[in-house]
Amino acid sequence: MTVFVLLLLPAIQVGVFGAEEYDVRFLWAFGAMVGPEDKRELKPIKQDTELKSGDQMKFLVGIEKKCFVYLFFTDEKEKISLLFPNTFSQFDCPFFPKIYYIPAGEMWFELDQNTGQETFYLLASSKRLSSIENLYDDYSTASSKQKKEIAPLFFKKIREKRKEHMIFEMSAERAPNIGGRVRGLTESPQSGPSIESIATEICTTDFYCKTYTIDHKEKK
Amino acid sequence: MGTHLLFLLLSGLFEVWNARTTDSLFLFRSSSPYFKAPYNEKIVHLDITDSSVERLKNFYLTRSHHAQVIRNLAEMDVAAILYDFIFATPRTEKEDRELINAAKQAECVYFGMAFRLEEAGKSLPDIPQKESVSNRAKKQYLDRTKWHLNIQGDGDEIYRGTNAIITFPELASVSRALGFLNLNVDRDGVYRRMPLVVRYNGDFYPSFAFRAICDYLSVGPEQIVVKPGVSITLKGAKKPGDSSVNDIVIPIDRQGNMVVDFIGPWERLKHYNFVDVLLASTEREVLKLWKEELSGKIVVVSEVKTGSADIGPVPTDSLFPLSALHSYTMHTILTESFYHELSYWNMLLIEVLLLITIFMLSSRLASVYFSVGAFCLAIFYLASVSALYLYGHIIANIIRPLLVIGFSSLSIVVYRYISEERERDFIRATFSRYLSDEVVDELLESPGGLEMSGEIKEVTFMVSDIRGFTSLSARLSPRVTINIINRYLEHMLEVVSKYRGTVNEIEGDGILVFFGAPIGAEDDDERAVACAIEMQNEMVNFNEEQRQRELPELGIGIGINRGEVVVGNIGSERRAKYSAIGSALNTAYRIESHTVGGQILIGPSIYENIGSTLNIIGTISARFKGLNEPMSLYDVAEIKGKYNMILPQKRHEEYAKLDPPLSIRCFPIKGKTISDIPIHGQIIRLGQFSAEISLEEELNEHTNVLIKIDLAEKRQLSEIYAKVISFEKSQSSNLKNKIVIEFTWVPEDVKTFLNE
Repeated sequence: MTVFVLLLLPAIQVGVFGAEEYDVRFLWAFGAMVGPEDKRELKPIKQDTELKSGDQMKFLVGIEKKCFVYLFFTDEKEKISLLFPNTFSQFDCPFFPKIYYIPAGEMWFELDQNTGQETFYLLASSKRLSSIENLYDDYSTASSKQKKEIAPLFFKKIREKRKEHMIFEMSAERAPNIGGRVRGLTESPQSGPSIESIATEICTTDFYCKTYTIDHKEKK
Repeated sequence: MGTHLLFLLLSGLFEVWNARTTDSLFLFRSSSPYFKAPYNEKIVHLDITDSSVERLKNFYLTRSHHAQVIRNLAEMDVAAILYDFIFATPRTEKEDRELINAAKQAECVYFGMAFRLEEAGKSLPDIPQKESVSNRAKKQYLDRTKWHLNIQGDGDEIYRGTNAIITFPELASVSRALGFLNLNVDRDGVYRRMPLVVRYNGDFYPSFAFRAICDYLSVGPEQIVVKPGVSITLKGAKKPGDSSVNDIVIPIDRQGNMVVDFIGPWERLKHYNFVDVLLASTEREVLKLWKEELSGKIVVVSEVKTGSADIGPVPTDSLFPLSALHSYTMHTILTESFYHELSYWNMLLIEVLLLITIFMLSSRLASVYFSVGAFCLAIFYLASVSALYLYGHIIANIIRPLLVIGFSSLSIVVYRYISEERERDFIRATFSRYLSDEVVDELLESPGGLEMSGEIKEVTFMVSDIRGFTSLSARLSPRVTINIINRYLEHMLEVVSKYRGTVNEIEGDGILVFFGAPIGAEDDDERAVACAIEMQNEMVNFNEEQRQRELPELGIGIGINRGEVVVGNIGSERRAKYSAIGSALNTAYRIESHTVGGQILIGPSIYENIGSTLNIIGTISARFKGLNEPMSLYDVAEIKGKYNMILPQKRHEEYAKLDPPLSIRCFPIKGKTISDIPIHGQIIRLGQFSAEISLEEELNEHTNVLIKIDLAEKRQLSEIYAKVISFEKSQSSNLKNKIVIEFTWVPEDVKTFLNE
């Protein structure tokens, strides 16, 4: 666990040039310790991925500027949990830059034996996402029957919010008219994620959303 | 004819010119918010751009990238994926396998191929194909996938495809289909039309876009009917999501080309970035959102990064990535927004109609108005062509009909100019004899001035004549006579010219002047009277000259009348004269015949018009042949107003009583004939210019008479010519009739005798 935190530190110090102009600015890391117990190695989770029972996970959220970061989790039974903040009332406290580890301190989440698809929803916004907060509050206080009704609404709301801020179409791009041909080096994709890139600074003007779907497989 | 000949000789130049003009209609439509054609967003572009390269940090995309994109697009449930690529050869086993698997799973991927296209009658030299496994496989693939179409008509002019380059057979066979990517460029290098099918090995092969859209519309080759030069019909076409089935009729030319409806530039299409779709699969949620965006769409994947060679001009864009030609071809068929080009015979009919209109205009309008009319016709044609294009989706030839209008109008104007010049020369030659150059110029400038074929006009005629000049000339030598008459005319014509009269006739000592023909003016009558007074005044100067030359003094009488006559050129082609025909002219001559020297008589019409500006010193009632009622003639002494002139003072006459009276014989003159039978009488009182006579018989007023004096010593004197001014019939049988005569011509010997 110590290694993970230490390795995070250099990344935490990295700041994006001109990042002051963004309303949403925070540090983010999602790492997993994979492999046999005696030979675990840190793997940055950057996209949908596959993990096995027994693998460990940890998150880092470093708030540099006042913005609202949420991390929700749904397990294979679509049960929704709030991983960050602890409670939404945390946003009402006076802001000061701080790094949060989830779980706190040196603890790591460990994947249990319940396999299936598990999804993490990372949301960040310059404004509080009250509609999502309310839906989650409703969900958390509801009976298990009601939860089944509220959960789709909750996911739908997140999708709507994301679609609202997503740009699919691009403006038509034209190539400059040149008298010649362009040649470039073929760069093969990097062989594996480097540990330095675990923590990245995420900057955006208004809203950010990313989902990580973990295919939780049984350890062979 | 000339225009058609020009088009035949310089067909390249004019075709290009016409095509460029038609392009401007496409450009206008695409840029006009009102006429902009709607864009069916079913067809979208997925572009590999410079920003894609920057984001991937890789200039050369691998087949793995393409495989991933195909997988992602298939996941997004798109209707068709059109890869504007020819993967001509295998590359690496791993990548090829990945691409083949992706295409196979997607089941809706189209890849490109290319033919060498041959026009009918223009066979290209054969490129030998090596016998190899891959060539055999290629041929087998093409033979397996070619289309057998229902051809109605002669399809020989449809392009023939040879020497195909296709996506390698293993990939081609798992794709939905291949289609040829060949484009058809016009003579000026602009892409306007797309061949939809080509002949291949006894059957047909579809183009990339045509093949994909046929599949999209669930139209198989058995449902396609080709009528070369007319149409390709897609029978029973069914649009996804639309339960209705209909036949789509695509107009084509003899080569099988369809005019593409360019609804705008490259930017008009909806574009997505290749990398966005490539990376969409990194997050399942994102992929779901993309699915909502692209589901059911036809996606054309093309490369438009820097260095892409596939850029060319189209009517709406000078640097158009040509992959979008396939998109616009599909869009044209999908939206059924076809353009029909009018055939040669249709255009010929339009040109004939335009020519008829031009000739109708030329027969009704003067050159200036005709030119304006021809210009308006050209504008009307342009507007009609634009309207046909915008509202009827019909493309008509623009340049050739405009040239037909231009050439025919120009020919007519030139012809008219030459013939009008000839007529002007004729007018100048004719009228310069009668008119000042200034009036002739004005006549030529006047729009109606060239109407010389005859017209009815109100004209004022002024007739002048020297009293007794005939008898005078008989006594003078011809040289002196001509000298006198020429000097006289010089004086008089200068005056006439000053008052802008048209000297129509000079017959001996008589002058006929028109006021109001050929050019009319408001003050024709006033000018005529003013001219007459100045002529009489000028006679004072002329007579002074005569005295100095010791020649007899002359007196002129002037008659003026106005009325409606026919004026125009009368005569044959070789000899014609501008003349007037009508009673008003004859009356003018008759009025003049009633004048004595120094007198101006005007007819009633002149008096009615300008009587208020004249000083009339007497009225004569004259009876003319053909008129039931006597006509009042007015003796003018002065004109007031603008011209303000007075006749020379009448000479004061003092009579001497002759005792005994002088016996005379009086011979009345009727016309030009002197009566043989004399009337005997006596001069009772004698003045210098007139005399009182008692005659045995009656004599009408204004009768011209020849008087012979009978002297006792049998001296023979010259005759005196005179006009009866007044007549008084005696009531008593004893008394003879008393007349007053005014001498119109008194020879010098008689003058001497009378003075004695």
